[in-house]
Amino acid sequence: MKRLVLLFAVLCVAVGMSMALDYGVRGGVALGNMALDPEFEEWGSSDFDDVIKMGFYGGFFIQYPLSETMGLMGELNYIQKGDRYHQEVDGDNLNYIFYGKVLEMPILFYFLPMEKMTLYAGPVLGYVLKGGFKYKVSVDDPAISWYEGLDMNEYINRFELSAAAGGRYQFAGKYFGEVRYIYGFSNIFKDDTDGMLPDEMEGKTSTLTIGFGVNL
Amino acid sequence: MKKIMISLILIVAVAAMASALNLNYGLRTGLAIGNMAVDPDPTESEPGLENKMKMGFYCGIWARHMMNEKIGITVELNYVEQGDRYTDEGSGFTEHAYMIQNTLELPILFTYLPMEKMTLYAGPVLGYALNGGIKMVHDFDDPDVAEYMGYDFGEWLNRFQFSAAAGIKYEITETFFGEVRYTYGFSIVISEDQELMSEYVEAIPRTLTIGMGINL
Repeated sequence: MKRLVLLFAVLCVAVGMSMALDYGVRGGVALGNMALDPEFEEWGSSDFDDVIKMGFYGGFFIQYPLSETMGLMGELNYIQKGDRYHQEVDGDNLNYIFYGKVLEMPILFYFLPMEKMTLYAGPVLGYVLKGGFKYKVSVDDPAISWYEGLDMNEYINRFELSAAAGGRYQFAGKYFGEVRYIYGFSNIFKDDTDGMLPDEMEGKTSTLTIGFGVNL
Repeated sequence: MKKIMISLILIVAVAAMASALNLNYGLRTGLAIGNMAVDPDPTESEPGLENKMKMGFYCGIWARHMMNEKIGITVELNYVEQGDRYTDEGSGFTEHAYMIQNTLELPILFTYLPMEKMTLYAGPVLGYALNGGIKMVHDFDDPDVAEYMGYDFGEWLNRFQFSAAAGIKYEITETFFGEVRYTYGFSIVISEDQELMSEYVEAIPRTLTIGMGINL
């Protein structure tokens, strides 16, 4: 399944390239957050703060112009989404981390209001390669950390639907800086997780990505 | 966060320098197939344990300065996921033991172009271990989930690593190239003051990378 999705995506990229369209690569940091229902604080007596989970993203894009100022953009990205809950106890850092490593295919409608700027928005189809949660303790002295977790393969909803909107600014000819917000509509956990998570729990990702890219 | 900032600044600095000196430069990424020379060998003490490859990821930027038409020097800055994996098959589950080392490496490669489209290179690699440790994974067949736990060795790592690399690069088009490289480590990953394992383990990474890159 995973291979089929990847193969299809690579084919799309290859077809785009052979049509001599504008294409390039992009990469950067993904700041992850997740809307949990019931919220993490309601799971038990918890003093954990909701903080940002840092991740990474990288991918390809292809642009298909419809006119001089607008067009369609297809992408294939790998992105590390998720959320982190943090508490500090006696100098030790305790973290609960929820994560979803997603292969996503956005189809974005773009608009060029100025010469160097691109604005875009559109739907994103995602395929969750890996998802789960982990508990990580970073000890202060000695400076080591310890973690345990669960990859919830069977209890993950593999297909995720999101919406993305963002902007790009060109500099030095072929390079650009980019900021994008991706809002997830799908619950990435299955309703019944056999007690691994609270019943009927919902987790929807929302991710801010900041990075740069190159037009090839 | 600090690490990401440092690497971002480094990337921008190297990119700026490369464009100022009018060098060839570009990006590279792909698969890192990890192995480690572990002493004492775990497969000897535990029958049924098999030494497997650990799949990881690498990415980086490179800049090349040609001294004459055929000979030049390539400097790179890469992030590489090195390590090793040992696997034991049980009934209904598989156990994996990972050794992990995520390294920021700075290779200085002596480059030779025997033909127009082919590049051979070899040289020393200075590495900085960002994190490393061990991870145990218990992969169940039914339900399809994977439980894991592990340690990041933090201050018990030998942060500075020394290796040698040799490889080959083939230009597919003007922009793209394919690449294969072998990195042979000389430094032991885990330092001798560690208090976690009863027995001191000497592990030295050996990594084969297969990937592609672009000329910018």
